[in-house]
Amino acid sequence: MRKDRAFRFLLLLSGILIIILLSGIFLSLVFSSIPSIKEFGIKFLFSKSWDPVNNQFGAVPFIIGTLLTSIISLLITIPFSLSISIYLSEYLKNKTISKILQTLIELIAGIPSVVIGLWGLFILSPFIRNIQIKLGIPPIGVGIFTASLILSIMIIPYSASIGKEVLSLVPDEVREGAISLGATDFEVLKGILLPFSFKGIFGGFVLSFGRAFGETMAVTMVIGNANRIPTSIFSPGQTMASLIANEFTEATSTMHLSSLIEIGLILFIISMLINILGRVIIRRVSF
Amino acid sequence: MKKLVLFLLLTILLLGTLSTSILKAQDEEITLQLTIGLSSYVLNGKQFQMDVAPEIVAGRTFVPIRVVAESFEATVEWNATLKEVTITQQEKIIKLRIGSKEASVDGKLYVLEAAPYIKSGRTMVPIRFISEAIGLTVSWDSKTKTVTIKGKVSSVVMPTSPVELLGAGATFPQPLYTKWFDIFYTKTNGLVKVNYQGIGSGGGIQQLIEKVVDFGASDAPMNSDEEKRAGAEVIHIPVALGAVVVTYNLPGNPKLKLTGEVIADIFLGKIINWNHQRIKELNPNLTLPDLKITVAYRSDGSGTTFVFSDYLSKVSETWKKEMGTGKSLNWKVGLGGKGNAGVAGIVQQTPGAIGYVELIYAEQNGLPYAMIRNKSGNFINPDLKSISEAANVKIPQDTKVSIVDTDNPQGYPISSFTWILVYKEQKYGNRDLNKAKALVALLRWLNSEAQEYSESLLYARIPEEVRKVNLENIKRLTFDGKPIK
Repeated sequence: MRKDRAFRFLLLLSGILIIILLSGIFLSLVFSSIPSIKEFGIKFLFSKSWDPVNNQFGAVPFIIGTLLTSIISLLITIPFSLSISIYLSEYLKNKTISKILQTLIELIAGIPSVVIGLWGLFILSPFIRNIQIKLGIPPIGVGIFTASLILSIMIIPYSASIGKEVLSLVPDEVREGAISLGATDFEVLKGILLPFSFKGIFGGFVLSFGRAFGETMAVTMVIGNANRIPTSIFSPGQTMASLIANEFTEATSTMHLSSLIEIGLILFIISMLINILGRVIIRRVSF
Repeated sequence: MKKLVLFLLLTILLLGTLSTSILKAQDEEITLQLTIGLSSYVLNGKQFQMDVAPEIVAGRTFVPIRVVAESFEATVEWNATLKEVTITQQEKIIKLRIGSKEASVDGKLYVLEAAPYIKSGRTMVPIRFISEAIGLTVSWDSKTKTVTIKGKVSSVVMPTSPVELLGAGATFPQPLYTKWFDIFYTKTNGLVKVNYQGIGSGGGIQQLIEKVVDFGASDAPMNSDEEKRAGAEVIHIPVALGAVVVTYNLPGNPKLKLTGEVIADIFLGKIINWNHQRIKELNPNLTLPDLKITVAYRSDGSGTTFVFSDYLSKVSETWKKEMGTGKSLNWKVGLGGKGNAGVAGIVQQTPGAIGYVELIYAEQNGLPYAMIRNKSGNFINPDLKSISEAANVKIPQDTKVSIVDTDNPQGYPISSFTWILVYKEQKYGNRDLNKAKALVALLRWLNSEAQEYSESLLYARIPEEVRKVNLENIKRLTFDGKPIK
């Protein structure tokens, strides 16, 4: 009995620890960004200048860069991950091959992001450059679009796995009922499976979006790192995470450092909101 | 078995020569001039003050012992009950007694012609006897009534037990530091081990301010804000030189000639094509293509950007106004690459691109780089010699000086020091004297023999003049207010 209680106490303790840790991170971000919040106030969210030499800081280019790359990458991801999850859970009857394929997809998710970034810089961006030459736009290769492509490669395995899990949650009776009524595979998918699991798949996309939002290393290598508002999807830009990765180590002035931390705070809040949203949606799917 | 013995013998011999070479490197020529009746004296060409002037008593010149001892790094002890003065320099021990003509050198007795005495609280001693006893040469100029004392001081400072020093900072000199510290470890027979973390100049300064390291390292001198936060005097010691080169991607990669103004306008987005008149004028022999210029810069905060922008701010008013000097800038045009590799990647992949990287990186990766016109109007190719030359100018005692746009006609204009930063007062945190000694030994070595290793790793040596300034600054280090000996 006593052991039981001790064990329960231990579990409670680690649970509380997580809460302390999370709020600790949040609070330290807030405290460290106080100088910048005091100096720029709400203007920080609307100013587009980032000038470390003259200590003028604003988050607009990075919020736009982050939203743009995440949204474009999500748009690219949706058709691919949807078809992968449908194929794996419904069409591929051979369980062994399905298992192998799924493992391969999860392996992609396990590739370190710096490796994907290198691949993007040396293989993908020359390829994009050729397309840009054909389109008659400045052939810089790197930029918002290349970063979005890289991001979508990184989040497809993620959303495909979630999609497959959600689809397999659909009760067999429902599926069998539809088939016994003479529905084709496609009709089952359209009429039964997708409506049934829509929320879950959507939630998976939201979580993937959150992942794309915070991705740092791979994006830094292919986005062009220009602290300006991008003018087209091919122009160079900067995300919040890559800005921090770039400038944090050598930011010595108090204002520069605290502005970078405030960017981190914004990133933290937005990613947390996205994650909560995704989880709420997924929870609603439970049968 | 024989071979093994031979090998061991050779190793011991080698180690022996190595450790003596480190001692030799510390030998220093010292000249001290004292004039009768004058309370100022000249040490190595510099004037200093003392509170009691030398005088002639009973036909002998008497000087305050403290001045001589400190100049030649001897120690003086005073025994108040015996009224005895003990002077120790290296292995020699000299004993004198106030009011007594007897003196002893290493236990051997001598008789003086005049006895030491005390004047205004200072012990006065017959200078010729003392000097000759510790192996210095003394000459007398009867016209100016000046005594000149010359001698070599091998002021070896070594810790007495194994010490581990911790340093952090700039990544630019890291390969050189790693090699240096490795050699130093061998040369001190494992006595001084140095751990260096290349976390960036900003981080190095931060850690020094937080007093968690024994030394910091930076590609830029500390600014006034950082010095204020440090709270105590920090000594800057430049130990190597680097340069930033302008690299490009043009058909055939010809050797370009550029000026600071043109580089500034290219990186500001004012010159946007390679066939621009101003580039053509500088390179009349080249056919420059009709190609759009793509600017590549360092997206991560870096000393390289600092040096590059420091140079452009000096040569271009527009740059100074619109961009300024810093480790991260508000770039108007172009693409940012992370690290030297990121910039080089963009330049190599994009036809018509131009960027800036460290010379070492360009050399190691076979990138083309431009000759740049210096202040004197000469187009200078960046190499170890022209970089060293850039530093071969008059530099202030605190060495916190930018050598970009150098006055030296043979100097490459985008060169820079990389500094090691140490607190003048070495007693902080829970550091002991031994650590301070190890640090002094290391700093001295870096300013002597270590320089011979720089060039093999493509770092330029610091000029002789700068080394002298450094050695003087190192002497100013104290532990608990006292010089470190």
